[in-house]
Amino acid sequence: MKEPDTPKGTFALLVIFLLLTLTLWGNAYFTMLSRGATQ
Amino acid sequence: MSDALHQPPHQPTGEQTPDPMAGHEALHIDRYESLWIRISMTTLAVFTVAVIYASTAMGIQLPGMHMRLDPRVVATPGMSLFAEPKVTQIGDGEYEAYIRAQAQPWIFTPSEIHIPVGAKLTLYITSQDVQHGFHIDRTNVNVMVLPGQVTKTAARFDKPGVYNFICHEYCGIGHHTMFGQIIVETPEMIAEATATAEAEVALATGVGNPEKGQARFALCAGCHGLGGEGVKGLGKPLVDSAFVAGRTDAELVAFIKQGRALDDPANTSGIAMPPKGGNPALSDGDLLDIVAFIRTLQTQ
Repeated sequence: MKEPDTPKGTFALLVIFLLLTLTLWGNAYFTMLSRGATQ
Repeated sequence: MSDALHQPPHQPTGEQTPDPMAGHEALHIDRYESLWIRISMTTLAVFTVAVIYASTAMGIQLPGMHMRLDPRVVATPGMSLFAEPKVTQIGDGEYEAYIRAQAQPWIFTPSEIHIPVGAKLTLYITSQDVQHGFHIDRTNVNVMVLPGQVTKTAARFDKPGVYNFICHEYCGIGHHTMFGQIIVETPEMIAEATATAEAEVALATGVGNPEKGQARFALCAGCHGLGGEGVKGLGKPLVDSAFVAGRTDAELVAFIKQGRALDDPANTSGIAMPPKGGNPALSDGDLLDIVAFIRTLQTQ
């Protein structure tokens, strides 16, 4: 039986999704840290 | 009844027990699916740890209710610290401010706060009427201001400059005019501001520039009309105002700085005039220019 091909397109989309999520979240997070404490 | 039902359940019979999973495949997770689950779980774990770290180690927390307060006595002297709100120094580089938000007129009191650079400012904020918001630009201060509740929050100001704070919860027709400023000053700026204030006092006794005043009159025109003819239900006419004609420039500057509250017995318009027409950034010199422009309207 033939092995299924590696889903390269799905990989690419997931990697883009992951990088975008981490970048946006990280940007918001470090902006928040740079603005200092609220207590 | 069958004899099999009367036998002990685990009686060894000498026969091999049949495998209940026989004929079924074990749960299969694809290699890539397993990888994605691990990545997702790791990401969530990192986010969770980061949020806990910011909350516990960095002191960045959601604002909560500090105490309850009867909104009917918020502005009553002797009954509440918010009756005469002010900024006080409570320690070395530490200040606290009691801020009262109100509609009609739509203002924060105080609307201008001066602190030195590097100071930590703790804020106690409440409303005396409706729901307001309070957000200081370029800080994490972003809270709701509710009648009957005191909200406590804080920020440290390490860079000099002007930090605007605004009401960001719609609170009525004058909501867009509801803002103030925190002015973070270096020692040089404090000395300069003192000199400027002295100069403005001197200027207030002088003569304003009507051309500059016309540009600044745009805010006043919202209620008093572009030509000072007044707007029914809002601001009174200025062109033929005996009140304006009967006062000196300095008296009018002082009046505009103060505004006129709705409960002022001298208020005959039925609507409040906010201090400085709702723009706390106007200086005495700016107000004198506006007065000079109003004088030109009266002579036309």
